[in-house]
Amino acid sequence: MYNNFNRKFAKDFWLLFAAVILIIVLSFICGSFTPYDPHALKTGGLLEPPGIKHIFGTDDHGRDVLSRVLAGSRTSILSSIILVLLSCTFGTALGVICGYFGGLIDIILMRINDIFLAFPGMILAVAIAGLLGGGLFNALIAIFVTSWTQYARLARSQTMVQKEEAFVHAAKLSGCSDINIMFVHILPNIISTLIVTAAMNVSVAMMGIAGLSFLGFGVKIPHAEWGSMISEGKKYLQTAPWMALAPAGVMVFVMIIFNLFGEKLRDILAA
Amino acid sequence: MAAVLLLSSCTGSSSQNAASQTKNNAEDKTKTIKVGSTSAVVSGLDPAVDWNGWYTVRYGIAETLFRLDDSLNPVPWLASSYKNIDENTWEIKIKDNVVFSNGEKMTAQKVIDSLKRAGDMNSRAASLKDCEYTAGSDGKTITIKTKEPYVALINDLCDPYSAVIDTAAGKDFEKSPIGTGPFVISEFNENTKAVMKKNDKYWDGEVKADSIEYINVADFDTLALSINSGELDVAQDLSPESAQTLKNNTDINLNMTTQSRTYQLYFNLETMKDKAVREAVMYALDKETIDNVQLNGCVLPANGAFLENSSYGGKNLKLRKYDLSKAKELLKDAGYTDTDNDGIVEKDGKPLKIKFCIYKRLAMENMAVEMQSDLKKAGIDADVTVYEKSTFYKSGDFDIGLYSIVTMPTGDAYPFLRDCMQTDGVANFGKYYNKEVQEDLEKLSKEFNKEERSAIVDRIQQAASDDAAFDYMGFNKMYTAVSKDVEGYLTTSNDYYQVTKDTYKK
Repeated sequence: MYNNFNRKFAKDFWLLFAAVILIIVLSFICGSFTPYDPHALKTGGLLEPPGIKHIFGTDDHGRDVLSRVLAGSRTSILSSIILVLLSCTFGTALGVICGYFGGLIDIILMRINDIFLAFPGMILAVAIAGLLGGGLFNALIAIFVTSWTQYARLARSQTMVQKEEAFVHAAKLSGCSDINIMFVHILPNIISTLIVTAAMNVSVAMMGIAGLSFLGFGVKIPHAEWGSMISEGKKYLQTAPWMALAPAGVMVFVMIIFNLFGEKLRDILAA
Repeated sequence: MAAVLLLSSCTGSSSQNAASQTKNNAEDKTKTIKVGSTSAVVSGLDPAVDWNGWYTVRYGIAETLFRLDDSLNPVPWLASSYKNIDENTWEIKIKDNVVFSNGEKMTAQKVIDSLKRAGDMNSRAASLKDCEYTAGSDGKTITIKTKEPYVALINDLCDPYSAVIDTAAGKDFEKSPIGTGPFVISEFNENTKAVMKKNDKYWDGEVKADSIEYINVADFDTLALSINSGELDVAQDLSPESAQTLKNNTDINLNMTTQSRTYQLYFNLETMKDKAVREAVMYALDKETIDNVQLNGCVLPANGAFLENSSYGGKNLKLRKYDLSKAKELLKDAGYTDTDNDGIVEKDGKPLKIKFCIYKRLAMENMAVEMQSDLKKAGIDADVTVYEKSTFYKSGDFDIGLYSIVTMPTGDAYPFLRDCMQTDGVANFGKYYNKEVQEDLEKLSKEFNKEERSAIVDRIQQAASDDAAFDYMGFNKMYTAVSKDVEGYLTTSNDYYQVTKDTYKK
């Protein structure tokens, strides 16, 4: 199926793919190679505007904003990717099981799913984060709880379609086990849709984590995370806009890359 | 007028209505003073309920028998004089010419009814509860007999919970209490808005402003924008950051008032048993730099728990000053050394990590970032936990913690010291106990001599500091932006005197 799409298409895809990989690798490395210690106070004046010494300026404690944005990238990007991987795996597994077996398992699991779907995601995440208390790990749990549902729904409906295909019946007749059929025969046929959804959801997860951090459920003082940096910078929006705009700008950029990549991936896999 | 007519014909309302509306608007602009704050209006106005009295007094609806002057000493307000007859008996004369806003004369009996009600309803008014009140036959003498000798009675009568209201008038004290102040409530919406009209019968002369409006504003940025655009005349209690945005507005006066609200640093004596560590923390904190430089001067470095210009100011105290090398030395002598070169000291292979708890109040989060950095320089790893409210203190799950507290709400030092340092004090979260301090607190509650009281307060503070049980990061400074058109709006350190009969808008 990959034979007939044109070279231009492929070039765009590989460019975006490279950009995504680059961002992930950079976020890994950059945390350790910042121009200043991201936690060191008074690296310059307080609220110093962007300049040669501090490209993104300094914050209200004199910390270098660029260093903090870089240090925060690891938290923000890696945790959102991990989050998406986890919720995609978990949701897909549940969805395939429901779709394949149907019956009571399906009814019970899908009603649980419905309960989670009934609440607006972010509100539920805030409530859960509030219950569990602050901290990045708890924020991740809160968003995980609200984000696995869509994968489960998607995987279930796809599995129900695939289940009726001739090759599944053939596999059954030839004595394959249920597990084998589900994860060897059905999963590869539905995985492309799920991968596209996952890729598009990285930026959603990033927003979710940043959102919780913004509200104060995220990282602990003095660690840097984009959402909490924007939240800290908000009060200086009029006097020192770089404090909020630097992390926000970088975050928007990264999200756009991930979204474009997701869309490209969808186009290719649909082709 | 042509425009008004045109407008009215467009909207279909009669021209007369529109014209009168325009006139009203014009009147509003000149005579109504609009005060905004993030907590300008609460759920009710009954002075005897919780802290609501603060608002009743702020709005100029009710007044107290005594009020605090600039040095936080009580002076007569509705009262004309008082006499301390013996340890348990106080004789208070009230002014003869005071009338409530409903026209009723304020008599000794009415004052007693109001005070009794406050004592019954408010837990902070415990001193008014079990007293024996007698009204003199002249109608202006009140004799209060306390069960135990109680020194701070006159101070307590400055507290807004003791604001005098006419308890016989109506039942809706939450929405329309009848007081003696320059203003009368005319519209009250819970947690949103309160509108006061001028009290034509005010006992102390002509009230200059026609009406006052207090409005709740969602956040500090909106508050600053509202006063910048002229929507508000006064913006009360701005955050330091939002105040910065008003610095260039020449139509606004930006006032900074030092409050008796301090940032108290608790040490949990049950979890931090090693005194050397507590002392090291105290030496490691560079309060002057944190307050003056990092926090932009919005906190005034403190010498003790009480404002310098009050009678309990800590000029005689010998407290620990910032000394990083001393902090390191203390830790070293106590067996803490940095064996793995990570900047944090260890003892028996365990790094020195302390749980530092704060909650979202004023500049606490900013302060915590600075304190954490200071402590790290001494080799102490402070793990900061930020809570929404201060309720976590009751669980005792902290090593050190910041607490924002008003130390002299009514000008006396005793209630604060009792709450924080007495063994069963409601705010003794660090479980502080020192026998001499307990005895001194007992003495303080009964000592009537002013100088002797100051000496006891000094002794208590010195002991608590020597024990390394409490420290004070500094006093909060409150920003208030007042339009230059408004005159006579008060900003005081106790924060509950705001509008008076002399407040008006040019």
